[in-house]
Amino acid sequence: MKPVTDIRGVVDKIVGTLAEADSNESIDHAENLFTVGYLDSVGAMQLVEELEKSFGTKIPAKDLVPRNFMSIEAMTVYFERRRKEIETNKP
Amino acid sequence: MNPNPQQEALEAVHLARELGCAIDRPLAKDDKESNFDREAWNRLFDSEFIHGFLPTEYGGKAWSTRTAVSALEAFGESCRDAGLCLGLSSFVWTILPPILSAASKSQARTWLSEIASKRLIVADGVSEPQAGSDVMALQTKAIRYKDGYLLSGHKSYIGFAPIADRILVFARIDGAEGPWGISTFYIPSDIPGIIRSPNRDKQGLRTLPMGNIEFQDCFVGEECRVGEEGVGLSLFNEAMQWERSFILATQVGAMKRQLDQCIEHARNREQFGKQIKDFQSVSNRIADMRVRLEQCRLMLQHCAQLKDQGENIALQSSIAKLTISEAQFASSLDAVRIHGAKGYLSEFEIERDLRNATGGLLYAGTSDIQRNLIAKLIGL
Repeated sequence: MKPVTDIRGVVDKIVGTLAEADSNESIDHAENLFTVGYLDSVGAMQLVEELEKSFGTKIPAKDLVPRNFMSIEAMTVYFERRRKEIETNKP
Repeated sequence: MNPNPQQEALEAVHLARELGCAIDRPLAKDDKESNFDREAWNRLFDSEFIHGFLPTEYGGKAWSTRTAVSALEAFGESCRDAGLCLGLSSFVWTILPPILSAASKSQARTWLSEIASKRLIVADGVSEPQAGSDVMALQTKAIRYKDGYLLSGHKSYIGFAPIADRILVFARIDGAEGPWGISTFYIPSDIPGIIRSPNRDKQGLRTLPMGNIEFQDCFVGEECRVGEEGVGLSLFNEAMQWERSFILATQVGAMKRQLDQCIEHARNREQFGKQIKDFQSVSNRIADMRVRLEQCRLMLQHCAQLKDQGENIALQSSIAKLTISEAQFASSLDAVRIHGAKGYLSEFEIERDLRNATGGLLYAGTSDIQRNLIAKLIGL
């Protein structure tokens, strides 16, 4: 995983781009992105691809569940946890 | 990973070719009557061909993606039964990936050993009257009930539906909205509440039965759920990458067989005192068929290589599906043109490729859907 310091900022930027949010409008970090209608199923696919590219890690399909990806907050928590796991498992 | 990939591929292709030749038979009658060859299906398991696609921890040979694709291409070249080829490919690319990705070790061991030992047929229960590639629109519900779920809804255009032994069902957990609301269940096809239609007649791929499945408050235990709640969309997207990239691998083999047949015909058929290969309209058409075959092969191997490297190939998979399905359709029409009346009559088994190729333009996402995805994935 790439040594990204501002995980929340990266996630926020990717979601904002995909959701085509107005630059003056910020997306609430706790808001469910899918029920609100920011992203559809293709958007979800693009989101995963962009996150994998930005963080330099493959997200296993089993991790792609609501608790990890429903909001900017959930994704931030997920990638922070994943970074810790990877650092802990380093030889 | 196999330390000798070339040897692995050679052995796999040899096995595929031998098996394909052993299974191959004239198909005009079975095609007309829509007969599925269960005996041939069983031979896929008895010959341990299927085992090539399974990981070693589940008794398989763990072929690389490149080997698997080469083997399927060889199988499709030697076996003319496109329905059987599609059934095999569906199992490899749409049923196995979700089980291997999300099922627990214990579930995977139980399910895969049972599939292999009993030579089971598993149907992929995604499509509904209003939901195909747009999986978020699916309406089949899973309502939490006691220590499991009650499934209710209607699946349509499901390959193997009338004869499947098991079904991989995609359903929306009641109350869960959006893409992460979809869950996946692996269930027997004969439990109470499941009603299956007879085979639905179709233009091509007639040796693979297709039908509807209805769930009427059908109870399934929690142990039938594949992965945790909400993982369904990811499993669908992952399977779609495999499916769109490689579902037509056997048909690239079929294109090779078709090309050889056209070359032979063009050399032997005479009109106006010369072989028809000497008419440039014919030879150019055959040259185009060869170009398409080369493009398809390269695309398959490129996608397989990327997959073996662990890459995300959402974009490439749509490009591959679009290219190969359209190429097969174009070449199948060319084959009919080259053979003339002989190409049009069912008894010579040339026009069947064209009918089968029409199906390829539709399943796993139509060409229109692939273009939409490609446009979106390149930022349009």
